[in-house]
Amino acid sequence: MAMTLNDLIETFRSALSLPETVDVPALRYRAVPQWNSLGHMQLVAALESRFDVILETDDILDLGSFDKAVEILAKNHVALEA
Amino acid sequence: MSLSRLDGRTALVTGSSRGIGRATAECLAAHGADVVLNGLGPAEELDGLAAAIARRHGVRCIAVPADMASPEAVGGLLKAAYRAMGRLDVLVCNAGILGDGRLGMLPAAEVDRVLAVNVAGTLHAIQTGARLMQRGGGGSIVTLASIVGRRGNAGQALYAASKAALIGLTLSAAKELGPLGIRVNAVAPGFIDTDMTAHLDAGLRERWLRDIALGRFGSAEDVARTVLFLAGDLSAYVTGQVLGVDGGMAM
Repeated sequence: MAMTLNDLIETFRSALSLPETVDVPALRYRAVPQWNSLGHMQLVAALESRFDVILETDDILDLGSFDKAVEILAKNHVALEA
Repeated sequence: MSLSRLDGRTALVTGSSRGIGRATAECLAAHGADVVLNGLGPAEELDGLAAAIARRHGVRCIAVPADMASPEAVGGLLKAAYRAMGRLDVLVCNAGILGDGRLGMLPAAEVDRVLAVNVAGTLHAIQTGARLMQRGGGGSIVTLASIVGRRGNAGQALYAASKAALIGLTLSAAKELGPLGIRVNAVAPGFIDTDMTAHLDAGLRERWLRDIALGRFGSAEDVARTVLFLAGDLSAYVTGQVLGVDGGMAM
C-alpha cells in the first residue's frame, strides 16, 4: 500500500505524543520538549516499524527535521505521496 | 509451556561458528528458538552448521557471515537477520578475540582490532538490535564478558580491558533499555575449555585448575545454559547483572 505524507505526520504525532496544535511538517529536533534525545529514539523506532525500514546510525543522527525524515525515507526506498 | 522454552522467538548469536557461541546457538535452538548464526569463516561451513542445527531441533536456523570489527557489516548482519526472520527477541553478543601480550608488547593494530571486535562491534550490535527488539515489545541481550574483565590477569591487559568495557556497556544499556522492555545482562566465564584455551601448556592448565573450587574447567555448554537462563523468561526480572560462570575460580 502506498504511504503518504500524512502517514509520516501521524507517525511523528503518535511517537512524540504531539497535540494537534503542533505543525509537524515544520518541526525540528528539540523545537518541542517531546522531541528530546529519548523522544528521538522513540521516533526512530516508530518510523522503522511504520515504514518497514532499518535506519543507519548516521541517518538517525541526521534526522533533525520532518523534511529530513522524508529525505531519509526516500533514501530507504519509501516514497511518500502528497 | 516451560519458562525455559523459547518457541516463537528469534535469537542472533554473534561469533557462533565454534566454541561458546556455537554451544549457545545449539542450546537456544534445542529450547525452541529460531537462530541466526554469525561467523567469519567460510560461508559454506556456517551454512552447513545452520542446516544441521535446524534439522536437529526442528527450528529455523540461518547463517549470516559478518566481521564484527566493521560497523557497516554489523548493521548489515542485524538487518539481514531481521529481514530473514521477521523479529528479534534475543541477541547474544559473543563474538570476541583474544589479544594476549604483556604491556609494552601490544602492537597498536592489535589493540585496535581487539577493541573493534570485542567492544565496538558489541556496541553497534546492541544499538541496532535494541531498536529491532522494540518492534516486538522487548527482548533480552546477553554479552559475553570474562572473569579477567572483573579481576584482571597478567599478560591479558588488552583482553581484560575489552571485557571490562563490555561490563560497563552492559550495565549502561540495562539502564537505558529497561524502560523499553529490553533486559541486558553479561555472563563472565572463567576458564572454559575451548579452542581459545587449547593452546595453553599443561603446567599452566594444572595451575589454573587448582584455583577452581568445583575442580574442573568449564565447558562451552556450561556457559550456554547460563545464556539460556538470561535469554528467556526464567530471568524475567533480571537485568544489569554480571553472572560469573567460573566454577568458583579464584584469581
